[in-house]
Amino acid sequence: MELNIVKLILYIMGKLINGPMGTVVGKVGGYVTYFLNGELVTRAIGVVDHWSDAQYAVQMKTALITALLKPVKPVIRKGMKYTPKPKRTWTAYSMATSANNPAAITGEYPELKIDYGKVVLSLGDIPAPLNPKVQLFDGRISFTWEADLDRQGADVDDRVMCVAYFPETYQSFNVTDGAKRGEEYQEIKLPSFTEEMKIETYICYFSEDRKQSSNSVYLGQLTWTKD
Amino acid sequence: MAVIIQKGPIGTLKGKVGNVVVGKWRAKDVAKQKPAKMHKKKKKPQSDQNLRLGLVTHFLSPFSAYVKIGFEKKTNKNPGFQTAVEHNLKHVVIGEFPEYKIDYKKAVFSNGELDMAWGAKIALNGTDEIHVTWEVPETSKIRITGSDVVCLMLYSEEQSRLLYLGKKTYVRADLELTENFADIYHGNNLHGWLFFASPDGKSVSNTRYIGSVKVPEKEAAPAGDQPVLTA
Repeated sequence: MELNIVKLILYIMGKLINGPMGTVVGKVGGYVTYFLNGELVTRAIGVVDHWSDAQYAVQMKTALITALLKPVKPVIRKGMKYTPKPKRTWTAYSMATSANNPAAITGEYPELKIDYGKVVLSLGDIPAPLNPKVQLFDGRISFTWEADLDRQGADVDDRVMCVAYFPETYQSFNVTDGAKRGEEYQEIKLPSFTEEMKIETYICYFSEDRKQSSNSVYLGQLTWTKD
Repeated sequence: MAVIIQKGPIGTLKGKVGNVVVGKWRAKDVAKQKPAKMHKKKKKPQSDQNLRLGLVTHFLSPFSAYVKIGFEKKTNKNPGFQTAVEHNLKHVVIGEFPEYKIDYKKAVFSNGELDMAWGAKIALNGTDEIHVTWEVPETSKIRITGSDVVCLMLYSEEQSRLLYLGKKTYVRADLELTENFADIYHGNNLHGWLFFASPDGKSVSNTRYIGSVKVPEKEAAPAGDQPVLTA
């Protein structure tokens, strides 16, 4: 009897991580299991012809965030490359998606909108630009900031990244290798005026070795009109 | 719909055999049932959808060659034209039933990651020459993007067809384009769209509407200038 209890305890101690039947890869009923970037994942498979409203809301959020982040990919790849991520398989782009979805979305389905003030394009330890300002004059967007060299973590050779994003056409002008921190001025020259457009602007720092960055700062909305 | 994997002893059929229609769809031989005839009278919401679909398909059909560059992808489940119809049906149709119209400004023939055309303008030189200009912004690297092929579409509103603009290929680095068009378009309203495709054709830019121009009517030549036929 005593021997049996000892045996039972031994049985309880073992961990069956892959389940009693081992690792299953392939389709079982309505689910398919496979390795994705070194992780075992399971998802539903088959033809789905209708979704619930909550599912439509998730789809709409994904569509909004993809349209937002696609044109600013070069900035994200620099700004979030060395940001700590929850998993090793995460890329800079998946980090950006996670930081903005659903944090940067407001409203109730089906009136979901992007709150451009909450959009994050880079995350890091360098202190964010101090008193940044933006101005649109004579077809040029000029970014100004204060160097603030005494602050801890600030370096003379830090550079800025500036983004001018056009929400109506889903396009953006990215300066990924801008002026140095000490210069306090960076401009983006716009092409010839054709139609009135709205512009959302962002700024952030990255270090000389490109391994550190600051959080991005939203500078506000500009309206590009014929002056 | 059935897919024919192994071809029969008499080769592949095409057409109707009894109640089955055999044909080709996306490089596959498929067999379908004969479509049934509609006997019910169409209700209003259905004819509303049919009207919009007809309008968009009729508008897009001359652009099919460009839509194939702009929307066709091997990974897509649907053909390029179907994707274009799906996208344009949502955004292009304006007005109330039954007077629907096309909003030419919002028409889209491509969707991709490349830089769009900026500062694009269209102008007429005389009566049968078109001049289109565009710009490359400073943030875009012209050494990388300069070899992108220009896809310019000019559409005649009155004749519902695309203008033939010659066989010459232009690239993004040219920054301008001048081409002649036939004199059958005199007095027509022309709409222009522009997008870029990479040299390997794998990536494209979004479509930019570049504006419309009105081609003036051809003036009747003065009688004195007519060549005189001599025997």
